[in-house]
Amino acid sequence: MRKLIAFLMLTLVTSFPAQARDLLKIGISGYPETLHPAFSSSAVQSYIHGFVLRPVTAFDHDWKIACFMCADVPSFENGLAKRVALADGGEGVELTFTLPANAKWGDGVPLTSRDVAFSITVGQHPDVPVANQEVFNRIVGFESVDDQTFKVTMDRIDYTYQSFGGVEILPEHLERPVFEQDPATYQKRSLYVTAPATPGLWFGPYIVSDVVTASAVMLDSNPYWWGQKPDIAKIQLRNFENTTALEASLRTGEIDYASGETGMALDKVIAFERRFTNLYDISYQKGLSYYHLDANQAFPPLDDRRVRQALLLAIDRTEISTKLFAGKNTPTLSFIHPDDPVFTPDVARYDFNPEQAGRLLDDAGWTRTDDRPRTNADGDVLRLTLYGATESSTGQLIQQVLQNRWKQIGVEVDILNQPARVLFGETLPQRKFDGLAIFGWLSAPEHLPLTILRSDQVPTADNLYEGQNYTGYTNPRVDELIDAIELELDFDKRLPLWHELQKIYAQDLPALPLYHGENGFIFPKWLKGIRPTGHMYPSSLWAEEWYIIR
Amino acid sequence: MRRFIVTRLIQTLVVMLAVSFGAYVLIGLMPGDPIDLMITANPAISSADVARLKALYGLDQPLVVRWFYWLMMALQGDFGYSRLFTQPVTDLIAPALGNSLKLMLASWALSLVIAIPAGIYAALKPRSFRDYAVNLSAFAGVSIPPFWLGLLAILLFAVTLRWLPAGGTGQLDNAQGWDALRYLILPVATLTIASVGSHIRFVRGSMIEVMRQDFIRTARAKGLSERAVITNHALRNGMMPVVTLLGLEFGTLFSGALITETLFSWPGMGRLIYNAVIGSDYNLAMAGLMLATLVTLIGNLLADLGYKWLDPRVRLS
Repeated sequence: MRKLIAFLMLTLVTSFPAQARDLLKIGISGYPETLHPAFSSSAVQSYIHGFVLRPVTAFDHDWKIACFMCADVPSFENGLAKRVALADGGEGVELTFTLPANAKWGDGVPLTSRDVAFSITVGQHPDVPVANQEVFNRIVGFESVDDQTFKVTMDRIDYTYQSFGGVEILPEHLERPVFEQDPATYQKRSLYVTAPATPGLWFGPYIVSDVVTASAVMLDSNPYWWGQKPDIAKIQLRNFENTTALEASLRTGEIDYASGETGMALDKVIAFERRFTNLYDISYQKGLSYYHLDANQAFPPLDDRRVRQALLLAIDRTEISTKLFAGKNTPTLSFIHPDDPVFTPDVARYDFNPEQAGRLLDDAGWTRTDDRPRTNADGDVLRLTLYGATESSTGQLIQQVLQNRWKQIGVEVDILNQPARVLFGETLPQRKFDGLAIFGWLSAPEHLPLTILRSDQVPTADNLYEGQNYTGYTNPRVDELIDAIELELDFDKRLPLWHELQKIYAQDLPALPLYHGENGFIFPKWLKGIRPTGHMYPSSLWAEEWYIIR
Repeated sequence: MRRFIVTRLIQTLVVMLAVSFGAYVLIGLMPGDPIDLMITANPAISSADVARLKALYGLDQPLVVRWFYWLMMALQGDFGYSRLFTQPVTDLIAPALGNSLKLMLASWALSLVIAIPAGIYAALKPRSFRDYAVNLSAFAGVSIPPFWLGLLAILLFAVTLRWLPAGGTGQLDNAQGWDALRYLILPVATLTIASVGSHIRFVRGSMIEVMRQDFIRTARAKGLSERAVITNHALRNGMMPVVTLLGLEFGTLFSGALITETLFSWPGMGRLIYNAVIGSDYNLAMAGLMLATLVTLIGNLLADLGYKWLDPRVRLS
């Protein structure tokens, strides 16, 4: 019997799959709705596309616009951007891009400006449900100069004019016949949907070689890739909906690497680091996810700026960082990340000061005797509801800290968590939260908060809940600044406008800033070259630089 | 018998129709439609985009109208496309159903193989040491939450001992034969432990009841061996309540086990239906729910027919 057990144990152990070092298995959390680049957009889709596609322009590691499928970023200085008069009398901008001369699709067919033209045709078609047609609608002219060079005319000039993001290049030679057959059903019949392992759909350092829907995407190195040859021959992207399973698979060696952009939450990575730092390299990257508390100003007393300031002063954000995130996720001053070129530290600060918070609440008419909750002249108790998403364990931890801290200054807090689809699908967009809500935004460098702060972006039934100004914040000067920033092309002239906007934000506090979220990356010690960016363009866009120490 | 079956099948159709309407409306009444969820992921989408997308997806129509369109298509065998995966619904359900059946059938069979002899063994000597021992094990199985048990199993057998994989089906590693079976062991064991307790309790209770009946005493008085009394007389009658339980559980074979599938990254029906409901993927959610409903109703029909087979005195009406 003992021999039998020993044999079975040996069989179990020896039959464990061996790890091949020409294959990198990456754990991700989530699976994209589609692999078609024009439909939908999500962090996990961007991550996968980073290996197999390239945007014309994107932000680089220094958070500056860089060319991925062009020779030079157009500007008025280098002559690749020109002001042009539009037929409607307005002024637009004509941008000239030159594709890499040796760029090819994964089947060896040259990638040309005709592919770009086709991509715009698809995006602008009224029957094609691209997620963000606004990007395509801004294109009012296209000219294919030659196979590599094309000119696009945009309908207006704003400070983001140099970027050509949002237009993903599609292979005309494969997709045009499918598209022209019936544009209305193209989304379902595209080869990206019916045969995603077709090499000619992709043109990154890798091509998709196999797909197991909702489970995994397999990638092979692209034989027609014109850039630096990738060191890793094959990559598997495996979806784990449960981070515990993801962590267990990492520890058993079934996956090699958990991507910080789409893998484990920061608190899980911190816990992992404490136990296994000798086996893995752990890296943290500051990111552009802005975590904050939206304060709905339709509900008194949150319409009183002093109350919002008092609430922020009563939060020990350093304690949250230290106790919950091992010193990561440090307090932030406003919605602008400290590494953003337009950031200014010269704004009102709200270091932990419960005494000052108490004084502000006294001034606002909310007084307390002994340790009882604060009341106003009518005897109403200062009681707030704090909303959050049930799926966010981190948010729930912070809610408890806030509840405790605010209770210490006499503010009663009821925590109310809702499923994300309820919170983000109804409660926030319809401004049904009678208090504060904790959540995060992911933005781009120098991202203008037009839909979040402008007074005409307050969602109401009358405007069909357009806009993301959930707090109901209105400030004419902020509206002016937003408009001025958008139209100012000179960075040096734009900078003081940005600084003033941050100062007003920190003073008015439409939302209470908590921190800019960091991402945790767990690398095996033999995997090198991965450089997280911190913005919405993922590290996979530079996958050809990744290498394995053999 | 034929009339009974025809009547039940007609009832099944009526129930399916009612369930389809109820499920469709309930999913539709949940806050946030697919486009609202898309806006959450991409704040840059304009209101014009929202209106255009809602019209293109038919979300600007009243719920009842949308349900009617869905029903007409479903009756023609067209369950549409999944919004979450941009694939025909049938293409998604087929592999998930196969995976769930593999998992659920294995744990169901294993559970019965353990529960029937254990329940009988305990029932033959109620209030004895062996009865208490079997009962204790059964209560332990019922009481341990599957997610906790699964986590422990992963920690011990996958992470610490490295004997078994932590999750997945092995398909991505091209696992065949024994290698593929290894991926089944932990999820099947977790599900089996969770279900075997209630099966044991049912078998035991039913057998104790039957063993007190007059016909058992008569069989013994006739001089039959204890084995013959149990297998020929008690077991057949004792299985009636168990058949009811199995009939009710039949549907779960096809609707998967959400927690276990999620924990072990097993791409089955439980995860598929859950993601579809949460993601407002009407076509996928409806197809999954209707399949589970149909199979549960058929399971109940088979259970009724099973009564007749086990006990010819039963009249189906």
